[in-house]
Amino acid sequence: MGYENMGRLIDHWLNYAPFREALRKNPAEAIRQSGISLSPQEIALLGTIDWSVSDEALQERVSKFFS
Amino acid sequence: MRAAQRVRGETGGVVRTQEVDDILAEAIWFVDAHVADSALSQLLTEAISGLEIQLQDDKALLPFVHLPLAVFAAIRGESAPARPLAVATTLLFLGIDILDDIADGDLPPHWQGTPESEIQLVASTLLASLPQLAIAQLDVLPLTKTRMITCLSESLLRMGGGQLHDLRGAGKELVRPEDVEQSVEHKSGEEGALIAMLAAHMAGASEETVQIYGDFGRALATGGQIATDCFDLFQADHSKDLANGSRTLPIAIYLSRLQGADRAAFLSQLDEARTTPAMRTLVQRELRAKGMLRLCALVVEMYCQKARDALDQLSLAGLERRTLDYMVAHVSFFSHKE
Repeated sequence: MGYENMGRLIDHWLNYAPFREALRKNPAEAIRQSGISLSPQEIALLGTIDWSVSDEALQERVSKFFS
Repeated sequence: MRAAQRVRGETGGVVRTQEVDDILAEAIWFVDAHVADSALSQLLTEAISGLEIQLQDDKALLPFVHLPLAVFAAIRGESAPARPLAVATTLLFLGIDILDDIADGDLPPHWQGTPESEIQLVASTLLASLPQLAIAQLDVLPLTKTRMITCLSESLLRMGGGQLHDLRGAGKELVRPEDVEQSVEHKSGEEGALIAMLAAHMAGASEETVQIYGDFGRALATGGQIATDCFDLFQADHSKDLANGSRTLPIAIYLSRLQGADRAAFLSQLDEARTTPAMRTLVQRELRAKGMLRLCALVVEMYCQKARDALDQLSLAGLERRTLDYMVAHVSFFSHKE
């Protein structure tokens, strides 16, 4: 995974409410319009994710796999 | 909400806490039956009992117990014949875990009073004697045993290489996130691949199928370790990684995105967080506020997708597929669109 560009995506997510909304509706189009360069695999992956999950809910879902 | 709860309605098949209790009991029996020296047998039993204490209420999904059972059941339709293998992989996991704890200076309290040289002996026995003996006693063809022992030795060599890189990187202020990810793949990922491949070998799978299960186990365990590191940082009451100064993925990514005075200030905060709980809380808040949890969730998701892709190649259906999907869902931070 390209950390630099994924980092830019997260920055956009944090700072631009319209981008968050666009990502929830159509991830591939939102990423294309943002100008962030991601691989086809990364874009496909982002399209399968439920972007309506809040940061708080995400944190509650973190679980251990290795003890 | 725990991941195991959020996939309610699906089935975990062999993923039951009772399996953990039973396999740990069988591991103690195995040690008792095969280790002639009573002092060594006692130390090994203490190690297994210590693992049981460590796990306590956290037996929802343990890869060293549930993964071999689930992979074997996916191929053969039943898990019971793989129980002796689950004993072997549990002993192996315990050996690796103890060596990690020694390297991190983070041995659990039950080892208090035991000389470190004896703990190292326990770890090496768990890695280099008992799993091989357990495999040698499996009710499988001699050729299958040979393949399993070869698989075990090759994986241990790869894990050793990963551990060496880890040891040489310990204490460095800055590490590249790509290097951290690779290290997780070489250690935890390789362990997951090994467990899945041993089960597939035992079940009599073709070499091609064994490799696909290896890909599945590697992706699942790599994602699972990154998720575990996030749990330590964002959810645990006491972050052992912050206290130890470990540069896990969320920290490595954040540091790589900082420059100049900002990076120096955060490094100073990390240093203070090793001894000051209040600073740990500040560091956790900053990482969360800057999106590191969400970014790592995406990395975990990439590995979950790799695991699903491997399963798609196996044409599994019914309970067998649902059990392995359940494991992936346990690691994933996201629910998925159909």
